[in-house]
Amino acid sequence: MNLIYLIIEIILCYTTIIILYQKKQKEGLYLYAIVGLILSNIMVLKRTEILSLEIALGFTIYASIFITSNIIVQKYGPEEIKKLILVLVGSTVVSTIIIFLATLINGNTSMSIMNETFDYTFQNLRIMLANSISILIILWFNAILYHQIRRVKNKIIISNILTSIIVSFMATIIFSFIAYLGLVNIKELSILILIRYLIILIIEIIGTIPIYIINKIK
Amino acid sequence: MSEIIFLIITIISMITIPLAYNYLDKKGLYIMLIIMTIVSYLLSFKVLNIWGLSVNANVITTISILEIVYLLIEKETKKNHYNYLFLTIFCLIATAFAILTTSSYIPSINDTLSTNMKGLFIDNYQILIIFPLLLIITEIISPQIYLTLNQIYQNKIISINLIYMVLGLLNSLIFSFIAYASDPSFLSKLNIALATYFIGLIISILYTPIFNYLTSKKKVRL
Repeated sequence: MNLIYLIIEIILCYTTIIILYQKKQKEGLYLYAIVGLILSNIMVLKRTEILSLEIALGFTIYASIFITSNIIVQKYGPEEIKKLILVLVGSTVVSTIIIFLATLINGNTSMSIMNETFDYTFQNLRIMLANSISILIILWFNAILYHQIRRVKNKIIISNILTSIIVSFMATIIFSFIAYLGLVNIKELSILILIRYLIILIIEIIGTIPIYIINKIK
Repeated sequence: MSEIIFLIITIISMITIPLAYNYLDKKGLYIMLIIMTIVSYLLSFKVLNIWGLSVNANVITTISILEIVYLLIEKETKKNHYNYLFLTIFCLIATAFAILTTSSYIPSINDTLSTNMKGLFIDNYQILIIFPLLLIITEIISPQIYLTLNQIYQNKIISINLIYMVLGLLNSLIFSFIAYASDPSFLSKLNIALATYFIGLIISILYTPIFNYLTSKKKVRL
């Protein structure tokens, strides 16, 4: 069942990117990246199993943010990513701080179940930060790498796959170290890194399709 | 302590809007609208206890959304007046989708949050439905009333606060009675509605100098 959800999620994410680009061009891609980052920070709090392999959710949107970044580089150049990173830093800081602070306020006692569940869910600041930090640190490197590969070999598929292989590995390592270091032993951590890396890599490779489609839109 | 944190959230919301406008012009307002819409939707699942009042946690961010909408109405050309509505609808659908997807995935055996997430979002499905509906309706109606009142009173601040006095009350009452329908106590629901309305009115008035400053500001650094 989880695999079906995953496939639906991938289709929806990439279709949304294409539709937003058609409707709003660059602003549409910015919109996707901002909304995606905030929502992946929430989704990452839950752990699920894909083909019996454990992984923190939110990875589809996570991977699609890198694809959005590649589309921006493809269409507008790597300099545009600097603006995107600044906007994403602002968005993630404001949203995370407000949500986290709200968990620290005492809840109304007559609705204690709802309030306690809210607090328990959104107090996992470490995982939320791991998600945001790993994206924001790697995004600039991703843009430079994609741009350089594109300059050497101007083929979308090669640029995207090579970038994805390197970038998703680095992003996964940063995410897993911040999120799980000290909570699981090294063997478990290595397995978590490997599984997350492989799944994100596959989603990013599928992301070549929306890059191709958007590249053809004038 | 809770009251201080509530004030900190209010200050953060009030400072970030002019900051975003100063650095990114109208785009900054749109970005703040996106952030505030998603955060507001999530915060609607908590009821705070501050100064002895039961207040919905989304009160600050919802007022911020409305202030941003009024600012956009002032700053945007007529052609782009309803761009904010597209953004709001997109953010609400995306957030609802993310919430539902997250709750639907079968959790791993090591997951400790799944029951909580399902309990928070799915058991309170009334909030999941009523918050976006009310926000969209408010965002359609209030700018039209704002423009009409502005023509009558020639005063933006009076117009904004008058709208909140009427629409805000209706909004709070409808939201509380539908969102907390499972709560058998009529008085409890009325309490939350009125307290949220009262705190919202104060925040709306506190926004006055920021709104004045931003509407009078012509050129911004990009």
